[in-house]
Amino acid sequence: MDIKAWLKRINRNRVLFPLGALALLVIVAASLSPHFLTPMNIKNVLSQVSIIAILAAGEACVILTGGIDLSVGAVLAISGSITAVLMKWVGAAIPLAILGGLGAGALAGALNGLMVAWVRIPSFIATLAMMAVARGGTLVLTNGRPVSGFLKSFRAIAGYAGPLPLLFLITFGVYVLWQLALSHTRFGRYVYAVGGNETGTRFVGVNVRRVKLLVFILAGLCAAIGGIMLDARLNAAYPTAGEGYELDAIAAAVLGGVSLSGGVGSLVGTFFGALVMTVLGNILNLLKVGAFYQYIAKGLILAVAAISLSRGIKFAK
Amino acid sequence: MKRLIAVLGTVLLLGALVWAEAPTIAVFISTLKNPYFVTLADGAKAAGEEFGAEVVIYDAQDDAALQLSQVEDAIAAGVDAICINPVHTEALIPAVEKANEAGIPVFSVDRDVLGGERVCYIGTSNVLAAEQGAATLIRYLALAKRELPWRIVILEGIPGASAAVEREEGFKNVFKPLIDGGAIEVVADLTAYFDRAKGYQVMSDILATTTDIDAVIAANDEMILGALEAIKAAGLKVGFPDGILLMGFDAIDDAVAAVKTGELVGTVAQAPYIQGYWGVEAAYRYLVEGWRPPEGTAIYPPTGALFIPTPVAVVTAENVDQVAQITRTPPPLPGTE
Amino acid sequence: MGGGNGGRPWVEMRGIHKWFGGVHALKGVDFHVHRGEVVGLIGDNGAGKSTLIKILSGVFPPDKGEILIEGRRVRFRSPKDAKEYGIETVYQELALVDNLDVPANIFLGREPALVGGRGLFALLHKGRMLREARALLERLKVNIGDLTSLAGELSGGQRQTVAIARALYTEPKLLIMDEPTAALAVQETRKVLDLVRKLRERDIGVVFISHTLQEVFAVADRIVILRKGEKVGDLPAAALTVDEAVKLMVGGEGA
Ligand SMILES: Nc1ncnc2c1ncn2[C@@H]1O[C@H](COP(=O)(O)OP(=O)(O)OP(=O)(O)O)[C@@H](O)[C@H]1O
Ligand SMILES: [Mg+2]
Repeated sequence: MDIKAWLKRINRNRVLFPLGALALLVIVAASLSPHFLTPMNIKNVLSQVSIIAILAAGEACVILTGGIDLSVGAVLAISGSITAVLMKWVGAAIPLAILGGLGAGALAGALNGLMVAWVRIPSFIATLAMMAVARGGTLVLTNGRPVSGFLKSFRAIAGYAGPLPLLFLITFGVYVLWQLALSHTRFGRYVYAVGGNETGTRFVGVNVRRVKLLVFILAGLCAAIGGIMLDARLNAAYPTAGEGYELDAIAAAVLGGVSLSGGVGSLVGTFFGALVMTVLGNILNLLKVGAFYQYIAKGLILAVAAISLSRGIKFAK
Repeated sequence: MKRLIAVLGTVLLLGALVWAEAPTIAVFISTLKNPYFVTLADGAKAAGEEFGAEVVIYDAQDDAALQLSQVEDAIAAGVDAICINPVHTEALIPAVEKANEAGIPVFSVDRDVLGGERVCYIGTSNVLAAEQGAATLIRYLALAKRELPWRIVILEGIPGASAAVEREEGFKNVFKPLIDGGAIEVVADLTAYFDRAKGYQVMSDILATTTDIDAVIAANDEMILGALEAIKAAGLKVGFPDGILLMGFDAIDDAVAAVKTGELVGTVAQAPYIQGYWGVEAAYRYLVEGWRPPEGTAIYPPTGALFIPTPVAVVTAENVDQVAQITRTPPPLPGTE
Repeated sequence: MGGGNGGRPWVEMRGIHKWFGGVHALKGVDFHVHRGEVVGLIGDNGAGKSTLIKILSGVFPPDKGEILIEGRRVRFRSPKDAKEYGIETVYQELALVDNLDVPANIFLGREPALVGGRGLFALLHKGRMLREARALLERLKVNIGDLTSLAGELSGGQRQTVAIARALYTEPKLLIMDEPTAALAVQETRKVLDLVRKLRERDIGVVFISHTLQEVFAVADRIVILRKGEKVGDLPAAALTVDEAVKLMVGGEGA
């Protein structure tokens, strides 16, 4: 097999580009700032990427099936709030509170899945509705007030396991499991198949509805994990948490090579995509670039990345 | 790829430009979408130029998690002091704690953080500001020689929101003795959720029950401007001396314009510019001159921080033309004269 | 003529009706196939051919009418049910998933598992899929080249062969082919027709739909003609000429 064919095979799910972009960004960042590769900053970046990356994991799978989930930011908020309320106002034990939050996320995801797969509402609309309901539900639940001041043992979720942030380890674990499920289980195969040719997949007898339902449930679960991690990191749950995160999650997936039309991409790439976005913000902060210039720099770099991504794909074909 | 390198090169240049020996003061703003905080950032930048400190402005876009990340990054980049206008009073406690661990002094600006060590909190007391607004309204009622008792309407903000609670407290501090003495009669005391449309609606509901009203005071300008429209729609007269007297809060542009035309008797102006300016000035003097909040500095009761209150001006017909100047001229920082 | 035509048909559809909103796509059609029999199904565009075979393969239920297999009434709630009875289909709209490779397409919906049995989270046995896919294609004497190519990277003929191979993997009792040659070059078409003849030898029933009547006449034992949702002809291929078939399809004189 010649090298070009080999590269093509490797890049079938477009992981090379985000990896390259990340490598380039890291090299440039390290040469621009002496603070970039310090242990402290590496820990910071790994903590910072965790929440956006976990949202992106769920989002990427929904996009792989050809859908979109606009509710992940709001589901993050409601799950985080439920966990917080259970701990602070109800006095529930920590594992129980966490289960409550995860359950809420899974439920929201299941409702999304039912609306999309059974009622056949386009996912864009169904999850937009869920976004509004979950955000409103959060406000009702918390009365619009933040819930804060959790037990040390809960905050430990945002602590360290050896040199590594626990948040990062959780996210990393989820990614490993998900990537394995995507590339080595029947479920993963059907996720790609539904994204590539939904009708054809249904014709061979695959229960497409169940696949879609599961994908949305998993996205809701990921959002819930993100909400609980955010609670621990901020030591507070607040009703506006996660506003606009759905767009960051979508951007991370797309930068990571996931095609918005479904069927193409991977979680490995998505993870690199999330890292690219986080490192970009981090290096601009380290260089003390003021707010207004940050917007311009970020916008330009993301645009350049997106352009090279689409060019790169054409080249590979 | 070339373009990516070009962009990063530009970023490198920008980085090099701001690289200097002066102390670096990081200023974390909750959101630059709100003009109020843009003015605060302007004040911070002006103080940076005045004192020769390097001021870096971060915009958290109202996202507490993003602001925490920015604080982490600034600490990693080795800034010398932090001024923070937190997105959130509680969610940013971990950020302040991280700065404390790194030995970087923290100054909270406009809004305090509810934990961690802050050198001081530089902000407006909503209670004091509301007292000044209410007192000004009373002065105008007296000047207009209105018959006693004065019948007034109070429009409150979102129930439970800290600004609403504190402003209500300030109004009550002024009105309570007068109510008890029979000089003031409260026609209605209702919430309009800091919202202009709700202000209109609530005011028209009140006018349906009575038009015998001397004055309306609201916890923000949006509500008073809504009420103004409702009163005009009801065909009633507004303004000094013989119309209904209206007092707002925040001095937004629409409200200042209405003060100029005489439709509002006044609106309370906080001074975000001075808050930003004092934040950076205090941080700079703390680092370079060993400035500390002076002996006898009061405690801000809601948060327990040492409180450096910034001045408040009530915008009225008498000073409306100088208001921009007043709120942008920082008086000496307490403890420096 | 193929074997087994004398007795009871293997599958029988009786009085099938289907409406799509206001469109009455099938108006009481009877249809049957014996084992080892090749039935050519012809008709003009929109005559209802695809609709009829989609009902037979479980894509949608008939609004009226019944289906019998070996004389017993059956009900298909999904293509999976039909597959379980041994009915496999190569659809007109190429049903391959372009972003999956050849083995993945052949085994889609029935992937062999390393562990986990038939569960959704069963681990795929990728090695077995590749081996068996290769063996299957060799048995059918077709050459795809690199089996790890994505379906989207194959030529039209290769795609069609993969689709047919997929349908044959489980040794079905009935294979339905909806315009399997529409996208093919002459050479590739000949291969498909050869394949159909081989199926007859293996006692598999075939429903063959095509607009190229010469093809149909070349392989079919019996020809069924639909016009505007009605069956207008059902004759042994030997008893019919192409011209007569065309007349029946478009109406004109005598039906
Ligand atoms: N899913 C559907 N929804 C609505 N109408 C349909 C649907 N499928 C088929 N029809 C209509 O039913 C009628 C029969 O269509 P069908 O696809 O069965 O014809 P066909 O004989 O296969 O034609 P062709 O040779 O063009 O493939 C047509 O009028 C078609 O428009
Ligand atoms: Mg058809």
